[in-house]
Amino acid sequence: MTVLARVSELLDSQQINLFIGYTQKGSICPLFLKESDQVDKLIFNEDCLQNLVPYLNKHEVQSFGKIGIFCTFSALRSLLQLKSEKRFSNLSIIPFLVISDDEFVEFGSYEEIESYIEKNFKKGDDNVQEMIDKINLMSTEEKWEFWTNELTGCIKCYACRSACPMCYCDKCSVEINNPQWVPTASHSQGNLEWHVMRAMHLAGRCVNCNECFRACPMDIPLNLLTSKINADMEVAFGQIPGTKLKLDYAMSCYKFDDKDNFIR
Amino acid sequence: MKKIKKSNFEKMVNSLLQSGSTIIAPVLKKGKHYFSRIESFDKISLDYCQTVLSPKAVYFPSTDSLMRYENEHNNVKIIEVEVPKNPVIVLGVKPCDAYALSYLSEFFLKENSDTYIQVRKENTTIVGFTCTHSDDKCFCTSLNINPFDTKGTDIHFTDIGEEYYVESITEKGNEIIKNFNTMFEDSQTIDKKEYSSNPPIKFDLEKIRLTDKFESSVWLDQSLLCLGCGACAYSCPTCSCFDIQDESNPYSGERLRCWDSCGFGLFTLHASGHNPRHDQSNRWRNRVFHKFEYSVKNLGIISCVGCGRCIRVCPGGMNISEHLAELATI
Repeated sequence: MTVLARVSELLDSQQINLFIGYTQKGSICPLFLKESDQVDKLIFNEDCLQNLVPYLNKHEVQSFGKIGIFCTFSALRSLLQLKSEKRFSNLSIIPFLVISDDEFVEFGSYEEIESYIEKNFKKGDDNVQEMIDKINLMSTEEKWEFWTNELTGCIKCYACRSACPMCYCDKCSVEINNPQWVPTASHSQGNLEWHVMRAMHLAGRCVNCNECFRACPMDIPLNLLTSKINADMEVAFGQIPGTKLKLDYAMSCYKFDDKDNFIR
Repeated sequence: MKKIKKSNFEKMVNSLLQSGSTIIAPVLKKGKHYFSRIESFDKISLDYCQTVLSPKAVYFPSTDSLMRYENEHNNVKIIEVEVPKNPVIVLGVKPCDAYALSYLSEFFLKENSDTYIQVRKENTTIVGFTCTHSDDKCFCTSLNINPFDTKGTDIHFTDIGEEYYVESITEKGNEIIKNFNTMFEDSQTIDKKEYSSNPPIKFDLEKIRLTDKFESSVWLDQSLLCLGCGACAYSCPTCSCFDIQDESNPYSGERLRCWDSCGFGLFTLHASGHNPRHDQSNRWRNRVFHKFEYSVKNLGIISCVGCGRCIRVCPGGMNISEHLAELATI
């Protein structure tokens, strides 16, 4: 059975009410299917990079209840991470990892996702690692200059936040305006505070899907910040986000036998 | 009508730079074009389809200081912010963007004129250029804007090979021709269409009737792709919503006007916690209604110019031109 036939079957039998995939319209963009009549518009190829999982955080999308979704490997990891954060308890989600038209994996449970990720785990993007290595070699002053320069372009459109599967707070810290914690203005201080805060909130949670970078209209490599923090988190706590269904999240988990004694 | 040799055009720009004018022009950075301040002619890159952001920040910066204040022993002193009055020249503005700048002037200056924007407009000269590159996201022609129109410009250039064909539109344009009169030669009228891009018409504007579609399910269907960021509004040449922010400490503070977007949930959130635009479909509907219904009612102008920026920057693949084409059929 091809993946398209399977999606049709799920929609026709109402095992799902919505399917989120990709289509080609000039460029590749998401396609939302409520019925199977347009299933032939779905495509999947190596250019289908957008992580579609952030759509599952929208309440309009959640109202469909039973949803099928195309996932890239990192999207699958984001789904597992979100589940480990107790998200989607009221949703029935059927993720598909597509290799070709008739070669695909349909996941029946989060345990299946967990074991697939374990077996097929690959580290993030080599280009990202290369850039992180380059920045690691910089002096503090050079790092400051690099980031000041990059963040100058930020216009505070929050596309990074919207496109991130892990940014699902009902009220983001920048939206708390009484008092205003983080300046909303896109001046240098406001931009720096926003991006540092966002990166800190993603510590141990970012699955390296690079959506923030892909979404940024100003091409700011925000994925470097979160990827670097996560590499450090892995060294310090041995945790890799989006690989375990049960997670003792390092940033909020208290242990009596913590190796650092400042916290005891 | 006039014409100017390209070599003279370069001399003119360099001379304007030397005389202290701030020149803002399209500049290529990491493969994309941005309007930036230039220090020399060779930084200008006119060979572009569309800049990532529009030139609206020339009138309406993303963060604009409105006033400062100081507090000493409960004596609050207001310090007015002076908008710089030096001449600014925006060069390489395409007809879509020039049209949008004229809309922004209407919006900010028609009633209760905005002082900050008034001063900037007075000191700014818009040097328009006939559009030579369009892509599949462009749809100005669908909105009755031609890629060689001069609306909103002070002086307009059309690349005709070795020379530019020049039309002076306003007194500011006349001033430029007068100041560099040895460089400009008389020219016969040309058909600019032969030298311009020609984006195809994507929909029939006449057939878009929004008034009776407020409750339609089309808004939910179209907005499923929307992730709720502000990339469309911030790249849009006509979006003009802003938020006033006071940044202060016990001793001093500053009142800022910052760009805001109707795509954000916070935009309409009431203090009570009630949000009249409670989901993305309401916000998307507002965006379309504002551009094609409210601004027509209020100012008699459609506030979309078909530049296609919102389509190019959208991380979710929202395509306003396809959505308008759909609205024209229902």
